[in-house]
Amino acid sequence: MDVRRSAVDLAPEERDRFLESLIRLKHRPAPGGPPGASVYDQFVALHGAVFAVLAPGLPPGDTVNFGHWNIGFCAWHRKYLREFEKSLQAEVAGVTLPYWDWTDHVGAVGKLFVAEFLGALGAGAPAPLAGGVLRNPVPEAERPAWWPAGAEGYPIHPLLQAEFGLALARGSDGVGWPPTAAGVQQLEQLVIQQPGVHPFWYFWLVLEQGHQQVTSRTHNRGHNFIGGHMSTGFSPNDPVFWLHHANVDRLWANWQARRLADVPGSAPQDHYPPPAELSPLDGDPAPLGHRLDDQMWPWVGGAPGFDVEIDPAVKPLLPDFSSAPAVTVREMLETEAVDAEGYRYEAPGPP
Amino acid sequence: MIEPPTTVSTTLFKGGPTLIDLLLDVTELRITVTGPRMLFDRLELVTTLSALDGCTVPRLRELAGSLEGTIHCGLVGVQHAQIRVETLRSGGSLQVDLGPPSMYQSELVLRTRTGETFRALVRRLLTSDPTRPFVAGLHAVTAVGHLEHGHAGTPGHGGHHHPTGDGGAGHGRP
Repeated sequence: MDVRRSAVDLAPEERDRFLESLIRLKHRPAPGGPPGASVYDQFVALHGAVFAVLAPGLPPGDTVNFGHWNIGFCAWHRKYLREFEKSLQAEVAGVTLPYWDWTDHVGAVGKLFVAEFLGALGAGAPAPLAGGVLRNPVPEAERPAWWPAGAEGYPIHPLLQAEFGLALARGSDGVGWPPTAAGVQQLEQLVIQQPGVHPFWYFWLVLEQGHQQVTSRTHNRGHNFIGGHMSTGFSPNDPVFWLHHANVDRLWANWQARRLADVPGSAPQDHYPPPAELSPLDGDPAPLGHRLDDQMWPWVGGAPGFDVEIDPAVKPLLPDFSSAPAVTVREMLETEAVDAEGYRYEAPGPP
Repeated sequence: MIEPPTTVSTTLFKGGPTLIDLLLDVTELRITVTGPRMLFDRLELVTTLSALDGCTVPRLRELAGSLEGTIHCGLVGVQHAQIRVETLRSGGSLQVDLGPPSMYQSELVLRTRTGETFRALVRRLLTSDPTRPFVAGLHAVTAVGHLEHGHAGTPGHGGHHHPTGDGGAGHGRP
């Protein structure tokens, strides 16, 4: 069982092993991909492509966003993060994704957004990072002992740079952050009871988009707070993405655990809307890929008829999951059962 | 002594309110916008007042000039929000820009330049009869051409159009 821990609780050697796995994956040539593309870049391209998937059964030319703006946001990103975590483990055995506990802002500023870890937060308009191992290039004299031979820095792939250039960019636009601990706790306990409406609709909505009556400072705000590449469809260019989404996933896992405890005899699928239930937000069923038994592109078992509406030059960067088994939303409902090993979250340590 | 609040915050999101009350007793309004230009295109002043009440195009222009806005977006940092009056066949329309398209979020901060509250400013400029009850708010206009399945928006605008046609980058850049 893998255990994901708060980033600020990692010992220096644990932090460095995680960073080493990131840098190694950034330089691992993409299997079957174009020259210069890495496995890490493939994950970035995948996130950019998931917004507009052409799928069998959709009207011609119609696309669906498998990963955002509806309830499948949670399950798709759980699978996506797990695949990325497995790729990191192939580089450095035993590493797991840390999470960014949004409410411990003092800890994050002091231990996470520092040169020794993910680099500083941006100041002003988006600009390349000024320090740390996520620069491109990293001066030789500043490369840590674990730095892989042959690596020069942390390059952004030219097709995925989103007009910010080939070095990782962040910016500060002065939006309010962090959320209060009380606001996040309220989110973890959020159960809106309406006839015919599953509570998960509203939990997902606040988790992804925010709501001032609970907290506006959730997933979307976190992307905006970091800025630069994190504000684009190619947001996984910034490794903060993985820690941010690990926290999103942790909050969902906490909500699920609370619901299972609060509803004796219930099963995980009871805490996800039935497939035919109409959204209280738009009156439609959840779109393809978001319903309980839907397969989630690109994990569709090589089923024919899928494509993406994206710059043709980016398509060769997409990872090939055609030989991997199909994965449904239902299979992502329990972190400890997402695969043979599974994972769980360790609560943050005392500040 | 506790001072009255000077700021009100609200959030625009899928399924959320699409009308923001502008008759507020504060001088600053912070609006978190989910999916600017992808879910919500712009804000438009809506009111029960007419030109006969004093809500004329010149008054709307004066109101636009009495407001200032900044957009806080990770794509660009901080930039001014355009606040302008469009003259349409149906009359004048005060519109507030939401900045570059983003799949995530931006924050619009609106302030009065005069130090008056929004309520006082709107009442002073848009109605000749200060005792007359009226409604004024900012309507969040739904974007067309965003990428959400099944919600194509206005026919002919391409409901699933990529804003820049360049894939993922287009989801976050102007």
